[in-house]
Amino acid sequence: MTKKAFLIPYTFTLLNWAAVVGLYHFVHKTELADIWPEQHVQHGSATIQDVG
Amino acid sequence: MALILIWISLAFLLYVHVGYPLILLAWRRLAARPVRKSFWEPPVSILIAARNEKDRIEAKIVNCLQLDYPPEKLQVVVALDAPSDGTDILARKYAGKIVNVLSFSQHKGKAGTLNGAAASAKGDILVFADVRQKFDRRALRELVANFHDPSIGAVSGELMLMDESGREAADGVGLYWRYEKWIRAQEAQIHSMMGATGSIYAIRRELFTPIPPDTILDDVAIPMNIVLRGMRAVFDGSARAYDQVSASPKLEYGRKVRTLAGNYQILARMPALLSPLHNPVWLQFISHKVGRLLVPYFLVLLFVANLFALHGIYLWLFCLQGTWYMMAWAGSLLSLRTPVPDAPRMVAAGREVRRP
Repeated sequence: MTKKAFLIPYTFTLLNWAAVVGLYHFVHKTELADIWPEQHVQHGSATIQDVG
Repeated sequence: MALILIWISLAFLLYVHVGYPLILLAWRRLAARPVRKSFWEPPVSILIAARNEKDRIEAKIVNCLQLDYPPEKLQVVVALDAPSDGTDILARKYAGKIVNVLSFSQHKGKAGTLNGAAASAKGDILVFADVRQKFDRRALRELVANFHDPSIGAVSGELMLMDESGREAADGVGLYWRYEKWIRAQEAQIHSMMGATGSIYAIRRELFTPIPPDTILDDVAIPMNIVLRGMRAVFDGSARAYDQVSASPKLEYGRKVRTLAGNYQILARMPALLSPLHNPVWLQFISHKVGRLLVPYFLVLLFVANLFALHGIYLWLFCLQGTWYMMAWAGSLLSLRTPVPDAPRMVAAGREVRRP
């Protein structure tokens, strides 16, 4: 319960800060559409290799 | 001047976090529009977009195949975005009448991969799923039942964030997520929610329009497109997917940055959402989505304006804010000491699900 009392304001503050950082990334057009974290490869037209 | 700014900021913050939820509560009691849900079995396509998921892809496919739905009416489209870790080899083991594997040789991003998956879907209902979260066995049936109501264009299921003990998380992030789900549920009962849960949502196939490949939030863009076309996007808490709650708010933070950047992108690309003439859920969208984006700036405004009025009740207000931020700082220290569980377990719908 005590821990929860501290985590609530922390989470609230952190998530609000995320809105500011989110605006920064949007304005600077950071590549966020890639949810797959580990890659940074060139975009291009896709071809279907296999349809099982 | 400082006092005016303080009251404007306070009014805005109270509206977004207290006033709007109370309005929703009253609105729902006065004019709820229940969904005429009925169980039926139209052909369904589950779309799974993934990149390098060799540790989880098989469990997800098996989870889909174990769902309570007639196999002859089920298609599982596994769309892989140029994987480099062998995910495609593992997925192809399941390729057959139900499971179709699309492996794109060039990187497309999640939105582009979903567009490709949707193009090859045959079902009347498209169900969007992520690899990470497991569906409850009845999730598909519950989602699909909503489409018996002709006014429904999209349905979001409920993502349950579980803690290490197998209960729904109620700390920090878990509590925030429960609050968010409550808001969505109220909005959906009035008309529509302001976005779906990416790990479990469904739409009518005829309402799908390909989204730009650099779309950050497909789970907001797709349902809101449907709402703008006059259909409802609702929330169904009986269609569940399960995930482990982020071990600390900091892990959730990264996800949230992306989500909020995505909301700015949605505003820029779908200006009709800001028009009460075009958006049937304009008030909810402004109060929920736009309001949340503006909250941090009003918090700063409140704090700074309060510095110029340190007397009477304003001094108390300043002390309250100071205490809140001190607690946030202490919470950050506590969060750093939270161990990250290395063997997360989830107890879902009476059975144990062990994450691969």
